[in-house]
Amino acid sequence: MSGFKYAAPAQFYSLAGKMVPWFAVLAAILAVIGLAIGLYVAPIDVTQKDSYRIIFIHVPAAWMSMFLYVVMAFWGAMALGLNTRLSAMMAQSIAPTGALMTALALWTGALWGKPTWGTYWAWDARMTSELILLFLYLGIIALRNAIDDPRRADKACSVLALVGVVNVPIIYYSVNWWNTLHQGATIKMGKASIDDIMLAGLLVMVFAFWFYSIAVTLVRLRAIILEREAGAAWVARLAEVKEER
Amino acid sequence: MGEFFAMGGYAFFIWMAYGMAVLLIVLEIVAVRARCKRARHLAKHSDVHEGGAAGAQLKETV
Repeated sequence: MSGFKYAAPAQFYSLAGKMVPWFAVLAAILAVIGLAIGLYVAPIDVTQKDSYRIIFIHVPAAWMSMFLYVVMAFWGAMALGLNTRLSAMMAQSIAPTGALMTALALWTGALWGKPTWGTYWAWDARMTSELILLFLYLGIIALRNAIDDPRRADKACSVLALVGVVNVPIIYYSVNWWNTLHQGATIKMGKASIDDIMLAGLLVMVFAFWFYSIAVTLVRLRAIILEREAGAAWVARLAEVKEER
Repeated sequence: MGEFFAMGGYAFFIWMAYGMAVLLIVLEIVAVRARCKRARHLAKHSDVHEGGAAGAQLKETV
């Protein structure tokens, strides 16, 4: 089963350790470029003036909040179906970063809503379903903390993650299904309703958020592997564990 | 320079948004590094069971 070699926590622990610096450095470089474009190079928007610059944080955070949820639910499904521990650990590792991205999407959305719509918050379909996403992430984290046996927590969290995945298409299509406050998609396949340099800055920031999320979840995954494999011979042999006081 | 930070009068909204992004990311990095350190400490002071983890692995497939 060579394809499953990295499915074992012991192997993946060292592989993840090698991957982290690459993703972290890429994320940092892209963030610097993206911020320079977003805050300085990109011209002001005709109607929204400088307030539109929130897009460079808001859209990447909102995309990551949904994308990370789907990835978390996928690993939850793998953990349930194949009973693989590493899949469950991956799902566990993603939840806090997903919650962070969701909170950031809501926060930046509120700060964008005030100057453009005249209100920080409305019970609009897009905003309400994104708030439910935050509660799903927080519920999954709380559920894990409430169950002492990690393997039982894996199963419960996986089930909750899978049930909650129905919320993701609701968020995504909410602007089409309900004609409320939040605007439709700025970027559609083949055409975007924004300037090229704005689009470039946005895409750079999306990749920066993406690589950051990968790096930070891999670091957290390494911590989770150590927490749950503590007592295993391979963990005791690790140089960084031996050196720890 | 002052013009840059003024953001055309939208400074409050822009910098509260970008500031929160930076704050949350810095806090997450600090928290996750602390968790790694705690995990290494826990692993160091756990009794070693030759051949596997402390938890039951009987039903494990890979």
